[in-house]
Amino acid sequence: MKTLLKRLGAVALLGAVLAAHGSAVTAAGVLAPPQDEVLLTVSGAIAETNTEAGEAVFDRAMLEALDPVIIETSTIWTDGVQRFRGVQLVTLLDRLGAEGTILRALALNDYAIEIPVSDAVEGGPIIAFERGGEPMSVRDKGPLWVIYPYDAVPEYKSERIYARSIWQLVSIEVLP
Amino acid sequence: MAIGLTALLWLDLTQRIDKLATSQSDNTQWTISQLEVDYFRLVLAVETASHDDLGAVGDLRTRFDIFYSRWRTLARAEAYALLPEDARYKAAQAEVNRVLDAAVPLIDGPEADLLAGLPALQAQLDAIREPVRTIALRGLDIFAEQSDQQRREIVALILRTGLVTLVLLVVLTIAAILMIAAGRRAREDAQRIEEVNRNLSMIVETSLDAIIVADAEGIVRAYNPAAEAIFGWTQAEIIGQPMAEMMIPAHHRAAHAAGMKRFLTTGERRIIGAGRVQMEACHKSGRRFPVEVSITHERVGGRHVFVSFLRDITHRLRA
Repeated sequence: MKTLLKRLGAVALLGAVLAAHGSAVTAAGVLAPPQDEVLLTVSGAIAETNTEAGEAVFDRAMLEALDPVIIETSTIWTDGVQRFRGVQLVTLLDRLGAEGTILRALALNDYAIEIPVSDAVEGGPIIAFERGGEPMSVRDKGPLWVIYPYDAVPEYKSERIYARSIWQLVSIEVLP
Repeated sequence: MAIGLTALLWLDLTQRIDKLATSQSDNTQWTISQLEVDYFRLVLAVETASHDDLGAVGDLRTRFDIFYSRWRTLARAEAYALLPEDARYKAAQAEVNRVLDAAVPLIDGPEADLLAGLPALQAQLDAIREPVRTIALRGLDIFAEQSDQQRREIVALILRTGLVTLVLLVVLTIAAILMIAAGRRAREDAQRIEEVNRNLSMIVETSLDAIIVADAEGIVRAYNPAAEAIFGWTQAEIIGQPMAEMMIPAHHRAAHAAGMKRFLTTGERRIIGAGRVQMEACHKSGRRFPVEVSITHERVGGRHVFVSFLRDITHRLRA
């Protein structure tokens, strides 16, 4: 019951966010080149790109434009409930017209993990770029950290999902 | 009691399953093994940068941040929360913390200062080589211990499940045996009662004496073939009718009613239970004739039942 309420709460929050920025989600178009330091590189089976090499690269401002949502959850790596803000994986994939089944995520520390595209659902994982309202440094598992709403969905409290919660994320390859 | 015991065991079982259902740790072993890897990559980056390779400074900073992050993750890991007070481990941890904290200003500072401080940083990193290794090995130890612990818990859980199942099985078996026994007893009882009833009704049906059963209101409830022959009324005509009006001559009815009332209010008996008594009865045709009657009284399920055994003694008196 409690979980259901939490989930409903998350959906309501999401709804409010979507309503406020609704236009941006559907605003398809050519992906503009980044103006600032590149935080994330997406390659592979995607329709939208902005580099010669056929990748989609994002700076902080571009991520901000992808209707970030907030997940409040505790994690096994932090103390207490944390407030993460970031782009939903599903939003990112939709924006890029990604056609694949597997996401190969790579971290700055050479950690790599495969995330099924089926994980990318509304109310599912986000690519967090803020924690407690502050950008995250590399020393603090930043700048990007894949976060699932562990508290809201008990199924996310599993070792498999923890392994997919990649921090210091730098690139995603969309595999068919 | 068995149900209570079983419920208790199940409660315990479900609680344990709940605990196992959500994981509290990620792959700690991976983090532990990566600690040394990240350490050596940092040492390598320092070495590369100190060979005057300007491009390598950015990489050095990244390597430092990665090692720093890994160290913090491991230090915080739930696995270490169970760590016993281990002096050697504590000292190693403090040493690594000290070196990392001291290096932060250098890493974050201007490039020139960082390059100048590289030999010192290298020395510091060399100094924590053993502590890092100690902690990594200790971590593996703890991890192995935790795995063992977890396995023991799962084994205990399975045994507990088996026990619960066994208890349930025993309880159900006992219940089934009791139910079968009760069923057989009920069937035997029903058979016996049926037999008794059959015998009884045979006796009543074939009796030469009239047998009349009446209730407290004097209403006829049962009436046998001999009674039909003596009184002329058929069963269909008399059952449910007041006995006094059908079978007792008019001038005796007041005495009969008074006797019944006296018995029901005070329990005083004149005729009931007095053995054979002679009195006058009335035939369907209105003919009066002498009878010998014995009346017994019973209470069946809180209700009064009067049973009269009665024979026509016209012939005997004539003789």
